[in-house]
Amino acid sequence: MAERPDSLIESAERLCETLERIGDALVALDANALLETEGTLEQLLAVIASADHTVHDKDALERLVGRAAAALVRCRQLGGSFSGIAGTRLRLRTGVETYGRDGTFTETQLAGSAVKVTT
Amino acid sequence: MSDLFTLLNRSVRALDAQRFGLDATGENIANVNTPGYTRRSVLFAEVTPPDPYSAGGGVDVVAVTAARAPLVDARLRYEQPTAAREGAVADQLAIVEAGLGDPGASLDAALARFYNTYAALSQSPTSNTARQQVIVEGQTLSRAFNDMSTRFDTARQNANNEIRATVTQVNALATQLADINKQVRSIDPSNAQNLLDQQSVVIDAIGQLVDIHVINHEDGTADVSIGNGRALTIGDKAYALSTSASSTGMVSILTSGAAVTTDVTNELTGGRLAGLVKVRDTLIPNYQTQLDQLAYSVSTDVNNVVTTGYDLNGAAGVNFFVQPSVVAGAARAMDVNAAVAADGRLVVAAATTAPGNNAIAQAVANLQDTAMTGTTARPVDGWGNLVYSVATDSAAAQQSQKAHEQVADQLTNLREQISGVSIDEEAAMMMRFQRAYEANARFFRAVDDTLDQLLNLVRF
Repeated sequence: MAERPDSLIESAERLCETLERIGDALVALDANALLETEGTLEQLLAVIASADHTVHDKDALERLVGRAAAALVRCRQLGGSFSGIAGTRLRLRTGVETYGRDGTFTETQLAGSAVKVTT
Repeated sequence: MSDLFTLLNRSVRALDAQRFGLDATGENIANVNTPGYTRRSVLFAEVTPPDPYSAGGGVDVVAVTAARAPLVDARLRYEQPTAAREGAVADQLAIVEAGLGDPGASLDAALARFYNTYAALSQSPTSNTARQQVIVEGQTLSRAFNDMSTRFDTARQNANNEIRATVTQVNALATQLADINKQVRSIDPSNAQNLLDQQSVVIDAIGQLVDIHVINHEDGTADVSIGNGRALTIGDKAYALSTSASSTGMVSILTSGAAVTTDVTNELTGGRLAGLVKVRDTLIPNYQTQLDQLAYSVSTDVNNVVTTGYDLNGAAGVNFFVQPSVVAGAARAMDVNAAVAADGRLVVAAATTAPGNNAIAQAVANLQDTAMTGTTARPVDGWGNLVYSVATDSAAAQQSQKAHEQVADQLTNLREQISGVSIDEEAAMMMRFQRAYEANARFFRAVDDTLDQLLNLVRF
C-alpha cells in the first residue's frame, strides 16, 4: 500500500520526538522511559525504511533531519557521560569489570553487601 | 548473664541510637532543598557483649557519614565551568546581537539607501537636491558605521568590567574557602559534615567563575588551583587574584600565588571568566575587524570611482569619504569628506567635463551589486557575513551551554540516586539504566543511516 504523501514527514517528526524523549530520560536517569522508547525507535526505523520516499515538503524534512541529528548527538553525549561514570564507579566499588573500554556490557557476578547503612 | 541495670542500659543505648537515626532522617528531610547538602547516613554496629553468657550488647551508633560521590563531583566540576563559560559567551553575544539591529533596518538598509541615492543622482546628475541627498545618506551611512563600532567597543568594555567584578567574586570565595578549611582542620573530619557541605558549595561556586583543580586532603581541607596549577586557596591561606589595566583599560588577570606575579588571563579555559575573556579578546575584536574591513572597502571603492570623474564645476573629482589609511579603525573614523559635505557641487556624477554626464553616479550605484575590492562579497553581503558570524557564535555558545548543563543535570541526578544506598543498590541501578540505554543505543547506527537517507531525499 502506498504511503500518504506526508507520512514520511510524520515519521521523521516522531523520530525526532522519540530521540528527544530518550535524551530527556538520559538526563532524568529514567530507565523505564528508556525501555519504553526502545520499541518505538525500532518500529519507526522500520516504517521509514519501508516508506514511499516521495517528499513534498523538502524544507520541512530538512528541518526535521537537522533536529533529529541534534537530538541524536545529545543522546550519544549523555549516554557517553553516564557510561563513563557508571563504568569507572562500578569498577572502583565492586572491583569487577562491568563495561569494557568500548562501552559494551560485560556480565559479572557481584559480591554481597559490603556495608549496611540505615538512614 | 545480664543484670537488670545492664538490660536497661542496653535499651537506653539502643533507643539513643535509634533517635540518632531519626535525627539524621529529619535532617535529610529538612535540608532536601539546601544547596550542597549531602544526605546523612547513620552507621549502626552491634556492641560487643560484656560476657560470653550475654545475649548481646545492643546497638550503638558508630558514625554519621555523608553520602559523597567524589567521582561524580569531579565530573560535575568539569561540566559546570564549561557550561558557565559558554553561558557567559551567550549572555554577552545576546547583547551584541541585539545591537546589530533587525535585517533590513540596520546598516544593510543604510548601505542600500546610500547606493540608491547615487542611482537617483544618475537620473538627474545636475540636480542640487539629488546631490544633497547623496551627502545626507553618505553621512547617515558613516554614522551607522561609527555607531556600530562604538557598540562593539561598549560591549568589549562591558565584558572587561565583568572580568573585574568576577575576579572580586573569585577572591571573596577563595577567602571563604580558606576560612572553612581552617575550621575543618580544627575539628574531627567525621563531625565536620556541615562544613564539608559548605566547602563543596563554595568550591562549586568558584568553579562557575573559573576552571579549577581541587585536591581533597584527609584532614578535610581542600586546595584549589586555577590555570596551570596556580594556587588560589591552599589550606587556610587564600591567594587573591588581581587585575592590571593596560593603556586601553583592558585588564589582565594576575596571580600572587608564586613569588613572581603571573599573568594568567590566557591560561583560563573554563568558567565565566574564560567566557568573558573570549568575548573581549577574541570574538568582539573579530567582529570589529570585519566591520572595519567593510567600512574600509566601501569608502575605498567609492573613492576610487569618484576620483576618476568630474564634479559639477568640471574639476577633477575628490574623495567622497575621508580615505582611511588602514583597515583598523576605519568604521569608527568613517565620514564624508568635509569639503564635499560643505559643497554639493563637489559630488562627482560625471565621467567627463560635459554637463549632464552620469557615468560615475551610475558606476557608484552599481557598486552595491559588485564584489568589494579584494573580496568576493558585495557590501550588503559583507554586513550579512558579520551578522551571520555573531549569530552562529551566539547559537553555538547557547547550544554548548545547554549540552553541558544537561550533562551536569544528569550527574546531579546520578549523585542523588546513588547517595545513601548500598553498593548492591547502586550497582543494580546503574546496570539497569545502562542496559536500558544500550537497548536504544544499538539503534543509533541505524538512525544515522536513516538520517543520511532522508537528507539525500532532500538534496536530490
